[in-house]
Amino acid sequence: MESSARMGSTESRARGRLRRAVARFNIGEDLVLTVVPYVLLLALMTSLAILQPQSLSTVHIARIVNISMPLMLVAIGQLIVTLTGGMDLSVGGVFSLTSAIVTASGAWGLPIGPVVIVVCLLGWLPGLVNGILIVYARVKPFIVTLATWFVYGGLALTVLREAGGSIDKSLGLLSTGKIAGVGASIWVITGIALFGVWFLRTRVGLEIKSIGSNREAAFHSGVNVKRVEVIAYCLASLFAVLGGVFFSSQVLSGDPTIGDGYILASFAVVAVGGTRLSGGWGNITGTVVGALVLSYLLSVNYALHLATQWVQILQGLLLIFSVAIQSAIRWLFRRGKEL
Amino acid sequence: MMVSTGMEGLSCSGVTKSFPGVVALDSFDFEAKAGEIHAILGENGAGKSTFIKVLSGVVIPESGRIELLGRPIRFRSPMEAQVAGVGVAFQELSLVPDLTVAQNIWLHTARPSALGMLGRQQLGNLTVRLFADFDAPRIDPDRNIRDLPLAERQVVEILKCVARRGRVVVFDEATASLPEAETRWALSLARRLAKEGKLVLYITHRLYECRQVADRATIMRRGKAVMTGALKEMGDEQIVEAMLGRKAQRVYPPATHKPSSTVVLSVRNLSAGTRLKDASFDLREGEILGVGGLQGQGQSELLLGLFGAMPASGEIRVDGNVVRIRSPKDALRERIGLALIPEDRRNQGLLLTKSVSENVVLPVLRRIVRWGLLSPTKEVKLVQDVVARVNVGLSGIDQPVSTLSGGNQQKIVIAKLLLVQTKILLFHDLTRGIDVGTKSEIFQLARELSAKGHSIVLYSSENQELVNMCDRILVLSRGLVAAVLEGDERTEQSILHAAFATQNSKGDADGE
Repeated sequence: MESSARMGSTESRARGRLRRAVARFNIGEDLVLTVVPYVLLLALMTSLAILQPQSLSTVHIARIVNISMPLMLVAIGQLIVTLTGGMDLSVGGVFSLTSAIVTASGAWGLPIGPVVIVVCLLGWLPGLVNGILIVYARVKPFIVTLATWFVYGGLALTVLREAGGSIDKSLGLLSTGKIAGVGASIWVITGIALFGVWFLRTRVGLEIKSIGSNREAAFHSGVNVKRVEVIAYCLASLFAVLGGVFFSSQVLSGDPTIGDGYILASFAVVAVGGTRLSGGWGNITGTVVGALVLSYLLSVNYALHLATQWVQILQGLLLIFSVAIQSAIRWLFRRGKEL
Repeated sequence: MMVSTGMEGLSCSGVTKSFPGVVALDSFDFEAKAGEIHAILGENGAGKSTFIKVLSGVVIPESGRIELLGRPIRFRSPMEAQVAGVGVAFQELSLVPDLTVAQNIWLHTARPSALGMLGRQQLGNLTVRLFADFDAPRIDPDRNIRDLPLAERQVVEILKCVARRGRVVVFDEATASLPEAETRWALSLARRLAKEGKLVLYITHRLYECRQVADRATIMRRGKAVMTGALKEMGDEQIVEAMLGRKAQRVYPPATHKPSSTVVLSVRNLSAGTRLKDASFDLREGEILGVGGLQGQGQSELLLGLFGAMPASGEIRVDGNVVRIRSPKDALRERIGLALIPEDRRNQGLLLTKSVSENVVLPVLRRIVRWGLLSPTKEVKLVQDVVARVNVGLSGIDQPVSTLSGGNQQKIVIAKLLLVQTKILLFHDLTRGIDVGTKSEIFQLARELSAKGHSIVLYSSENQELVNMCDRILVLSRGLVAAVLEGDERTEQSILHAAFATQNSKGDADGE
């Protein structure tokens, strides 16, 4: 009787063999999806190493990490709201506002150290506004954060009229300084990765994921859905501020509209990082790797001496490619499963 | 009949909750003592689930008084109810699909480590111990809920609610999707909790299960308690009468005709998904063909595969012609006319906020167009026709679907499919968790449709339904047709016998 089950087409037999192999090694769908961004990163690093062998030196790697840092920070915030099934466009405004405040404060004669500390400590406030509007006024995240993006962006322009100004050189240490012989950005990225491993295993982290996975079920199992959602938007805004501070330390100058470019880029990083954009599944380390992938793509571009318009095109293609791989993996694992 | 005070249990008086258009709880009174298993019975819409939602903090009542162990309570969120020791195993599961079994169970129950983490190792150990403590069927604590079959999810849901070791445990239709062995486990778990001095509320549509497990019962109708007492002193008739408020009609309408010998659908060597290996059978005109067996033997795959909702291989003939069905759209084509009615009433493709009429004509808009515009007269005629055929009581065809009962929504789905001119209907475990009244209406409709020449494939997890409704019954086992039962062979015993006989001969299917 079994023979008739084998009568399926060759295509389905090959597929069956693939599935059995997957089953034998007990590889989970989640594991494979997690690995995708790492594989992409490895591929890009290898191609760059072939083009420019010196790119494997620690100095080079540290520089690329450094370049990717502002976007990485914004994207981590974006990831956290994405996990709840939401989105945050206002990170762009918050980023610009941070850049504007840090720059303008120097002109007002304020010391850079305390200013940066205060800005970081209050970084969650814009997110609180977003969260409250979304949760209690029940407006869609897209509309709320679109509106607050305009507002925060507008505030940035009132603080700093135009790009320029200068920031106290000591802030530059944040990106160029060294602790124990290792570049500051390497310390920061290590800290972020540890945070990522830790955060999504805490109760709040799990609650954030559970809201995006199934809001109703999360509510029924006792998750304070509203509070947790507000927390997620606060974190998104905090990370955007951290991104803004890091950016300021790199360029030591301000730009009140600089954040706008980071909004859609942060979604791209989240997607390349393997996160499910409808929420519930994803991880911070994936997003960290996603940001590095985009930086490496940029470096490969430079190494190939391609015109700048190619950067955009290649970024778009990479995004499509990585998302296509992810859905192919989901498809492979989903087939044959009970509905 | 009332028990003393609520001191040692739960007591409610005058609890009222209304939703737009319905009073779900109408000054509801209830008493139950700790240490007993108290069944709550009633039709769908009687207010059982609203009562459970009040107890679990999901819904806040407008008025009334609830006392738990002598103290008045008023929960404003599920969190508060859990802290007060009320645990509910929900029918509509409260599990998060993307978290693991362990994370779901312990999210709010386990104490985080010094670093604030709920670590994999820690939760895993807790879970293994919990499963051992309650003799539960083993499930890997690290698997995601979304990867588990329904029955295992239900087991997790039950364990999650007892993990907290609260004082009140509610089984809300918790056994509706459990196979035999797991149901026995759940029942003994309920008994054990009661013995430990907990109050167990048991909600089910299966009266025989209540009798096995519960001491007393409260029967609800239209948001009120209409009868309370020891289950032993209530007859089945009496209970059903109290539930319906009238004499019960027969649940299973008798067959009115013999199916013809014309074969409308002939299936050879169908395989689908990972479970259905090789199924062959014929379906005759006007026949109701049952599909049964133990859970997860390929029944779902058989229906979904036929409908094109799941990739399948094999030969399918409709009216003698070989057809290829690669998607539901193919299946619904006039030439094939094969439709599936899914079990999930909420996701079955009804636009809940739209009217009955809009829902029904959606797939056949082309037929009611005149000069490029929708013709209202054609629409009304078409809809009234088909609505009459499925026997739905409506105030008008403009009534929004959301105001209909679950059973009537089910009928609207069928009406919609009839308009597409389907000849073959696949019923996918439609009656799971549905009350007796609605169930009998759906079966009545199935009888009428088959009398008019429609052929029906009816998959049900309840053998009783198969025995009473089907002309023939296919018993699936390990993805194969293990037996075809006809005439006098159609008994619950022979279904079980056929299902188990082939289960034991292990090896042949794993031999690959």
